[in-house]
Amino acid sequence: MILPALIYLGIFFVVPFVSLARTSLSSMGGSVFLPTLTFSWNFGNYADAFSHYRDQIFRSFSYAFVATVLCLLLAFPLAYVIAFKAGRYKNLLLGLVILPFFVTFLIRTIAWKTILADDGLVVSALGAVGLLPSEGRLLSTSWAVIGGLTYNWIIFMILPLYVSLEKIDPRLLEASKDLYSTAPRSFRKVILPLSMPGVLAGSMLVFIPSVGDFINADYLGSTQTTMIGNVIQKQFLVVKDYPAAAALSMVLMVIILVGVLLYTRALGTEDLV
Amino acid sequence: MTTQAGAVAAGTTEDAPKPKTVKGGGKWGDLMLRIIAGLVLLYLFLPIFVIVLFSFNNPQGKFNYTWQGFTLNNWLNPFKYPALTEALKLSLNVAAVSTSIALVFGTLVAIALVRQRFRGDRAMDTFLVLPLTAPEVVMGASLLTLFLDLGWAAGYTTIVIAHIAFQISFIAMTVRARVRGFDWTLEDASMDLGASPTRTFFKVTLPLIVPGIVAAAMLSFALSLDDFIVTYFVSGSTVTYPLYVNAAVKAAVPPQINVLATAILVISLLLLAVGTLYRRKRIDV
Amino acid sequence: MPQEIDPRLSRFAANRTSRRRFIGGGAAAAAAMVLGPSFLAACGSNGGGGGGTATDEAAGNTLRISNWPLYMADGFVEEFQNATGITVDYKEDFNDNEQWFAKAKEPLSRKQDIGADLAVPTSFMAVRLHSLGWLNDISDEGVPNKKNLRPDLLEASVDPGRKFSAPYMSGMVGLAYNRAATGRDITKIEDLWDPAFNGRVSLFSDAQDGLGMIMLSQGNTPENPTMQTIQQAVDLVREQKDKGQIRRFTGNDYADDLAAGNIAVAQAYSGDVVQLQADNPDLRFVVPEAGGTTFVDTMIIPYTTRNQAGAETWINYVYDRPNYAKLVAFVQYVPVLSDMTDELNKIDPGLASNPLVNPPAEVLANLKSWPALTDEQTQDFNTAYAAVTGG
Repeated sequence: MILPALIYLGIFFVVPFVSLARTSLSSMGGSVFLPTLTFSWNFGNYADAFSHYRDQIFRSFSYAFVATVLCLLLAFPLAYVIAFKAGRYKNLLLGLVILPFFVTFLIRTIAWKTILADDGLVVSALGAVGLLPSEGRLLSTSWAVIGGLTYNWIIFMILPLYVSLEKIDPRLLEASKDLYSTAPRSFRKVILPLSMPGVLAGSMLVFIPSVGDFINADYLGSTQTTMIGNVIQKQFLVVKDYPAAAALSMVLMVIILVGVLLYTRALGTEDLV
Repeated sequence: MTTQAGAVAAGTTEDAPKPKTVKGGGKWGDLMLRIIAGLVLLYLFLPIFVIVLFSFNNPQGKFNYTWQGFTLNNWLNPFKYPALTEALKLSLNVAAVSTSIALVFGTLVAIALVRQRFRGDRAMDTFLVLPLTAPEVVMGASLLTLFLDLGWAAGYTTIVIAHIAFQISFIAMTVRARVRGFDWTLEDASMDLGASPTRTFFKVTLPLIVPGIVAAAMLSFALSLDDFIVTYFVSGSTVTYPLYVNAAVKAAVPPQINVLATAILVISLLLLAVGTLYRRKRIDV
Repeated sequence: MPQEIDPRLSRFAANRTSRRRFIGGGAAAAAAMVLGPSFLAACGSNGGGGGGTATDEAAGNTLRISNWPLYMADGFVEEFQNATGITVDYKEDFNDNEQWFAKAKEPLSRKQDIGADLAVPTSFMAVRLHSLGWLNDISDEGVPNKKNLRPDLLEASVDPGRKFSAPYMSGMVGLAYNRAATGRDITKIEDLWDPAFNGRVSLFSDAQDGLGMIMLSQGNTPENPTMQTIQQAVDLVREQKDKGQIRRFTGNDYADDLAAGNIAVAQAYSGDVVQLQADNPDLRFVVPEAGGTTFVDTMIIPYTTRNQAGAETWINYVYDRPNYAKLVAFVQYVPVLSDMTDELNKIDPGLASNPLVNPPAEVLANLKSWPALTDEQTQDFNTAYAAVTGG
């Protein structure tokens, strides 16, 4: 049953991946635009990656982490209501929820920039209450980037949470409400554990792409908010330091993998997926 | 969960239909929950309102950034930029095809991984997460090199292939969230009652995980529709919708982009509404 | 797995046997109905751009053009097709020079078709492609209208006599500002560093466009760049960035911030400002006192082209002044042909008198261009600037 996927990914993922790994350990020489890459176990690429771009690496993980937490907090109530309180409008709501994400990213982001403009209603209101970041604006700040990440990946938290919650027998919930005096306890003892698969899937589907994201930082960020994805973009396209770009990519992938392993262990599950 | 299987085996199906909404929880808590959910929904749609609004904008220049005035012209002339319309149709096509194929791969993997403990299943887990972690720009370039080395020209086919490659992981993980905790004894019970494995799969297993599959399909479709970097590399001179928009935005933002986006939203919304009404009718009858 | 579930509750779950209803009902039908027609419609129009093996003889006389988006006048392509009988497959997929290069170099280095018989990269990219041996020459016999080019472009040092690159459109790289936001006129580079504009300034992330005018303000010139002069400019940018002066490093995507007033002063391309001014008269474009730079987008014919003759016919057609005037009227950048005033006046008198489209001589004199850099220079300069732009 796994064979088709295995073969498919074996060709169209593993082969490029191995080539990436080779490049990350190579040295570059020859002409500038058609360089020759010689495989030379050049771990120096990795050392350089770490030393030069520590800030961006750390920043990427922080942004992704905050975005994931925000997604979880926002998605859970919505997924819960759709799963248990929507009745016959369940499908309608689900369709409604995914609809905004059929509009392409750039158009959504431009709309957000219109809403969050420096002299717009939102920023003025927040400014009056003193809730603006230190730069005195919302756009081109780290919070804008986090907001962008949250908005663009939240659907990947809502849907997995929903499918996981919807499986729970509602009578279980009613019973738990009868048995536990308070809603928070009922939540902690019954709902949360049962929805763990959704939480796990959702947080991974949000966190992982967010770490390597570059486009939110491009449009919504400032000169101080570059993420590791931006670095890789630049190294690859402009500086054309292919071993460096490859090494950075490998570093990114390995750290994410390790993080994910620890996370799933913490959630008390044996499996990753 | 042997008691469930026991109930099935004994042939006692639940006669009282499952309630659609959960009662209890306190009026106030319930209300708060609904309000919060509503706010989140509003948050999701906030930019959409702006996009719809600006489809009626009347800019004199090529950029559609500031409100200039109301006009219906854009709506009267939505296909003014044939390249945009073509790109949109192509992207919808690619998304549909790649999602369909990836669904098959991904669902099978998800089921297999949960149901059976086989050697190397942990490795498979890790393996599935990897494509999600790979940065698009380097993977796109590597894929292009692979395709060209294989002698395939970049174009429609390579785009679909590339999309499937990253969709499989997303689908597998979403379906897993549903399949987890699935009562596999239901399958045993079904087969005890005389159904073949295939029949069991299609009549028992599949229907119970369909919500997961549909959710995975929707996510996968949205992913494909929006993919930029990988598609850019493997597309040759074929232009998909995100490619067109990303390129166009640097020179101009014609309101037609907003018009087409709004049109898709409205059509989908109508279909959803119709679907909901249809179901209501069926149930009432 | 849910370990904490109260065992008492699992009894209540015991009776759960009824089949789940399909979530699919509405959603699947919706999906099918949305996808169905588009699937069928798009099936036929599959864009297998790079995949064909037909030669131009077999497929009829077809010319495949790859250009920047919205860089073409309405109706122009149809008129060309009618006038010459050549079928044009016009694609607007040229997005960003370096991105395009990263994609195109793979097939080009293998001498495989890139899906275009003619493309329009910026001048520095054309030079690079030529140095890699990937371009066909543009013959003088095939393009007699080459003589219509502005003399400074015809004999430019990057390609004297325009052997391999045919200028398409040029533009000025200077400063754009929102007069209402700045409260004063902007005239020199030093205005970018005015503390009053802290966090509301944007620079180009491209090394040539971004550093050119800064070098000029420091008394150096991009016409003869050295690692020292480049580094000097880079250091100034770094200094300002650390102060938080610079909000963003942009490509062409500064327009929305400028229009919204998020950015007070931006490095900008003249043509963008012409567009923005139509909706916001507060926006101004200025070439800084110390000087600005120009960019030139050029038509090139890759050596994998399948229609050399058709490509040259196209270039010749573009270089016909009445035709070219239509392009300028739409695109509103600076023409590459000389003596365009009369033709422009025929279409729209406002055009010829727009200083951004038809700059006066003293402005033109203040614009410098980059020479053809060596590969090493390109690499070094890009790397130096990338260190500041955060990549």
